[in-house]
Amino acid sequence: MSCRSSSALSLSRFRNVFRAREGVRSAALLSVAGNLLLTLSACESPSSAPPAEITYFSESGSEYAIGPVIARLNEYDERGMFAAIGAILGVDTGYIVADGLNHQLVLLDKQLNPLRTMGRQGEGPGEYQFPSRLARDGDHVAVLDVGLGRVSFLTAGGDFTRSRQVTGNLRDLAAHPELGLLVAGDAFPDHYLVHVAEDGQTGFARIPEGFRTHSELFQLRADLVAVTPDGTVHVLDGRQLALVSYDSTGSQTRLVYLPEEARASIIERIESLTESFGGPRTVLGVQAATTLQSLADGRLFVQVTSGNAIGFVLDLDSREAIPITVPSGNQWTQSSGATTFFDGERLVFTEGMTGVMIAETEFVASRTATAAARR
Amino acid sequence: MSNKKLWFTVGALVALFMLFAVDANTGIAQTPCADYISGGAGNPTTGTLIGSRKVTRTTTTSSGASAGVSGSVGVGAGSVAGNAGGETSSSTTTTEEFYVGTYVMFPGGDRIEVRCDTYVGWS
Repeated sequence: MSCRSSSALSLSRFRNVFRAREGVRSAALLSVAGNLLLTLSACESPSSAPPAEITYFSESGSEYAIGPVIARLNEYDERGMFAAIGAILGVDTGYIVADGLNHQLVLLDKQLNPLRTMGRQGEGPGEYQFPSRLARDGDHVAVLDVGLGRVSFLTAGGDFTRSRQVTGNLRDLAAHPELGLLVAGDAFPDHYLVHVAEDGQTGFARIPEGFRTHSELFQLRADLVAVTPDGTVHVLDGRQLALVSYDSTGSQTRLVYLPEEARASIIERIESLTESFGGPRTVLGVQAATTLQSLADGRLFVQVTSGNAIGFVLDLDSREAIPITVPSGNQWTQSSGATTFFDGERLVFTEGMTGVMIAETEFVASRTATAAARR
Repeated sequence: MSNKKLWFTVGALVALFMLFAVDANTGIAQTPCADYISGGAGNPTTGTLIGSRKVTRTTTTSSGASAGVSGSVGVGAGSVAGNAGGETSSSTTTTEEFYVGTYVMFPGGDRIEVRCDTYVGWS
């Protein structure tokens, strides 16, 4: 690729990125500076990354409405046992909950009755410092401990089997049927993921040129990863709020931003939080999108608060983002839903940081979609 | 020294020894991060601590300018996560360790990661 064509490509990307940031003044200014630099660097070092079409998910008129609570376990319940719930994962027998302050995991049945507590604070096998993410790995459950920088593997019943140290500041994890363990982190500055194989760790999922940052400020990345049933690896870039998809060779296949209006307000919220709590030297990262989860039908669930939605179901084919909306009334408070697990029908969510609830969701088609279906 | 005093002294020493032995066994410091953080007057946003980790930051400085930043995490992880800077002919590497607290923010549910030694709470 010549200098001229790569510059043109970069300028095209610049315009797209700039459009994506319209309405967010400071982000746009950063975008101008960052992408001009990228344009110049493209002349020196042509990118091998394929050109990607840049577009947005469109926010659907349909929705998943959260219904009444059907099961509950909270601090007022004698079964209650949590200090701070950081992650929830559905398993065959029920749910596994990661408690970062109690340094342990709890296995609940499908009615939220506690079945078993696993782990304690420590560095030994089956011990944890800050278990913060959970993922299915075939018949096993993988537990990401960001405090110890390692992944532990449990049977579905909660028995510890082994652990693996992973390099870097870690954020999220997913298991790929062919590749094995993929961990989102900063070990490889030009890649979103660490591919953890038996013979070592390598960078995977190259970060698109326009999204790479080179700052002297020490910041923690906020990216999430999920693998859909077809083997596609999806990364939600936590700064750009874009879904970047890769095939199993690591080649980028798709790049789609979250819905434009929602994205702009979330970026504004991230900047406001950073400034309110001490600026970027104290606030090392803000994660607005806090869960990315693959659904059985190939769609993705992303947890990110936007208006009265606690997240979106992303349809990768139609590029539609269907909001999951909270109910009115006192069942849903400001402290509800900070941590969630969604299986496409039931939503398991936290109440405060110490309680768990389950609610059914109802898909409500938009009027236009209903009319089209009738025709 | 009477037998009673002797046994008391031995008992106290054993208890002290066991206390240190337990600390040495666990080897994990308690977090210095605040349980809650607040956006201050006029800002209704508050954060609840859900976990913390020790982060090691390595900075490479050349001719008075910072050349690169990298970081790693974990008790005993001992790994370096890569270097964002360029190569230098003469450089100094400094390392600092600090705790980072992860807070869930209400309302909104965003998670923010705060360096616990530089965060100044509102009073």
